[in-house]
Amino acid sequence: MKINYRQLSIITFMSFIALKFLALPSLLYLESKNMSMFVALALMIIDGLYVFVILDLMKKSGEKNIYEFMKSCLGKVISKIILILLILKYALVIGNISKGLEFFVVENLYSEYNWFVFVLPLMILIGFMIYKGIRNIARVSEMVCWAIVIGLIYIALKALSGIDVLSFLPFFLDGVQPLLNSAYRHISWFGSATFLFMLFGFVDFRSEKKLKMIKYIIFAILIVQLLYFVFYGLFEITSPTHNYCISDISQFSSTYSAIDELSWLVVSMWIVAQAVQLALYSYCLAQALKFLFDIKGNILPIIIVILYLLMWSFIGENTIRMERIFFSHFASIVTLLAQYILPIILEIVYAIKHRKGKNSSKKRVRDENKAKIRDKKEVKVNI
Amino acid sequence: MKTKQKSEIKKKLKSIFSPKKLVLWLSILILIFTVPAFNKSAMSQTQAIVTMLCVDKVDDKIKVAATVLTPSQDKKANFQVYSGEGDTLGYAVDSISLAIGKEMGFAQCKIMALGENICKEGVMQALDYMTRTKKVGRNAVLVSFTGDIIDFTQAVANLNLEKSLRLDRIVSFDKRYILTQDSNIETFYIGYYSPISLGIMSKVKLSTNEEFNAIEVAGSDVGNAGGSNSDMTSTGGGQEDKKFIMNDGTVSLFKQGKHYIDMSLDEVKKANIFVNDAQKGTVVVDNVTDHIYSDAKVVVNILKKDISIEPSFNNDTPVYKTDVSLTVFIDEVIEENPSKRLLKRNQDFLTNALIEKIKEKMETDMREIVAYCQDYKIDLLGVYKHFYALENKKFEKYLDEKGEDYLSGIDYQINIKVKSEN
Repeated sequence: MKINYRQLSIITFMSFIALKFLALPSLLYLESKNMSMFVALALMIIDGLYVFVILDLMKKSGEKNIYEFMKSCLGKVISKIILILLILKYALVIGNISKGLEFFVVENLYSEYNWFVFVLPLMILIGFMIYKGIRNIARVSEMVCWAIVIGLIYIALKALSGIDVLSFLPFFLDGVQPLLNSAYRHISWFGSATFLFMLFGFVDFRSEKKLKMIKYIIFAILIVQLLYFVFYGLFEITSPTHNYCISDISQFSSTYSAIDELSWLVVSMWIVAQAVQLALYSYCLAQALKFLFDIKGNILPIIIVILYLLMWSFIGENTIRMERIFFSHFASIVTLLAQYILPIILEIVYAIKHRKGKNSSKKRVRDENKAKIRDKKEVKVNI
Repeated sequence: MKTKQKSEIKKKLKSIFSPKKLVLWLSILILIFTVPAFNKSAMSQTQAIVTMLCVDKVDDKIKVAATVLTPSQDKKANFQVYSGEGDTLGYAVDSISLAIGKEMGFAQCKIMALGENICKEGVMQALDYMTRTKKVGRNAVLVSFTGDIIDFTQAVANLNLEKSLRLDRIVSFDKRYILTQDSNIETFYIGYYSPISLGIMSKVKLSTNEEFNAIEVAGSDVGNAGGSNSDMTSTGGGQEDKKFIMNDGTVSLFKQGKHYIDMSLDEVKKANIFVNDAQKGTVVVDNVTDHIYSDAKVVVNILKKDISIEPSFNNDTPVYKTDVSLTVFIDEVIEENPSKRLLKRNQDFLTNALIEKIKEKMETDMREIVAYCQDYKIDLLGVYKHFYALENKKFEKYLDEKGEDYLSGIDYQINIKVKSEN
């Protein structure tokens, strides 16, 4: 079951905004201060460019899945190593979304809440969505996408009047180094295009409109920038203490009007978007496991993914321990390799192979022609 | 044989995890989680919904008083005031929990009021504990108050019940006319953590004497207020216990989290001329005499105000240039022998003499507040913020020389333009 280009654009859009509205803005502020918006902007633009690099590879792969494609370029062993790398990346993203949701629901949304009441049905939902495949995830994304977009814009605009533009100045006071450090440290929250690897062979490019994808990516960047602008403008120096960007903005700008209750509706919709993202990356993880261990059916990878999700409910109760996982060099290196280096390597290897292939076919034709001429000469001599 | 077994297992797994079965599993799970929930007590039985928390320090003990909302089926709100004390804020809050047998829930706490004593000693520890541990929302309105903590809490509860007035709304109304910023925990934090470490909050007074602008309320329990105070409270009673709550626009300024000075409404209004958000205001000018007015007192309403602040350095002297553009409307004209004119909403009566008088008055007010800030070394006008943002390097050098007294060496240039609404 393939998804069309529009659906792919929407999934990409959702993936671009998914991890950005909980703890990330406050964490970015710790190092990059008033320039945090620019760090996010730069990394999102790079992510956007990589979408097209991976899509280019996807088109070159034709009907092959990522494993078959890599195997044809790099051989079986290297392909399996790369699959392990991708599995690590997906596992990190799943852990990040899962823990983000848990902290948000348990600490922020409800005063007393048993996480397992939330996570067990969620796991069944995720399992079901993986079972139904990428098309199901794409359709759900289509359904919730615009409601979330409208909601996010509503929250941002409601709070826009309270911001102080001066708090963003001066630019680059401490130079570029803190921004680079911050980008490296938090890069595991980006790398939003890695899910595309597992969609090789599942996208119908007949309806391809590159402009549509560009529009969606730009739109995602603008929405994230708008929310960050409001967040940093509102909270200024206290930004690092706000771990729940989206709800803190809506709570801070709350008035006494009845329409204010809508904010919580928007926040709830955003939780749905997070669940869809969890399903998307769980799907990717299941696919990667299937390729790595040559598993034939869908059930076993789904069970592994569900157990992995369940595992996150038992570990890392506190934010500090989570930060150790997500901001370690390990997480940054995994993301760097999976999102930013792997596509380039694949492009290079594919180009070399393709050229070699072209050269060898040319040589083969030339040799065949020579052989034919020689045969003809021999025939003439014989005559 | 093995392959046969494998395929059978697969079939079984498929049947267990088929979409239809998944729905069944989901239903069973929902049942597992919902049925035990029926056994649980209602949240209102286990949690006290605190709508206001007052904190003060009395004789080295932290004293707290909370207004608790008890949900009831009739439309009238049912507030009760409880109080407790302890060596620390945590102990004081827990003592109320012990007394009433309920957890104190602060998610709906809309007001946090701080007494004079704790304000003098420093409020940051109390704010930090309440927001971080007890989860009071940072958008909770922050006020300082005078008077006894329990009387104040009771009076605020009665204000709601008797007059249908809410303190948080009264203080939030100030934002538009007086403070120009929300008086809440978040803005206080932003001020505290800024380099100038200046926090602002509204001050509400409680007195036993009737004063101008004061709202009379019963000092002790009334009607649905319940008044089921814990045994640690001192309950008042009787008609003689009338109290007066007064929000006269006084604002408390805090430096390093400790109460520094109070600003009167008049001083705050003058400071607001420098603030773009403070759009509302009036200017009263005396002795206007020209072809229209004869020794008149004219009240001018400010309809719109545009402020442009331009920090710069002239050689090594910082220059804080403020351009104020006012759109005004003449509100009242008071003169002994009024001429037969009709005051319309147009520019006809905004004469040059009146414009000059308005400019003169505004500049005097602005100079006065600059002097006030210099005297008390408080940066109410955002001087640090503007210079830091726009002239950073030169300003840091200037700060090295001047230190805390940086406001005194600045050249304040003020330009005022006045025009009518047409």
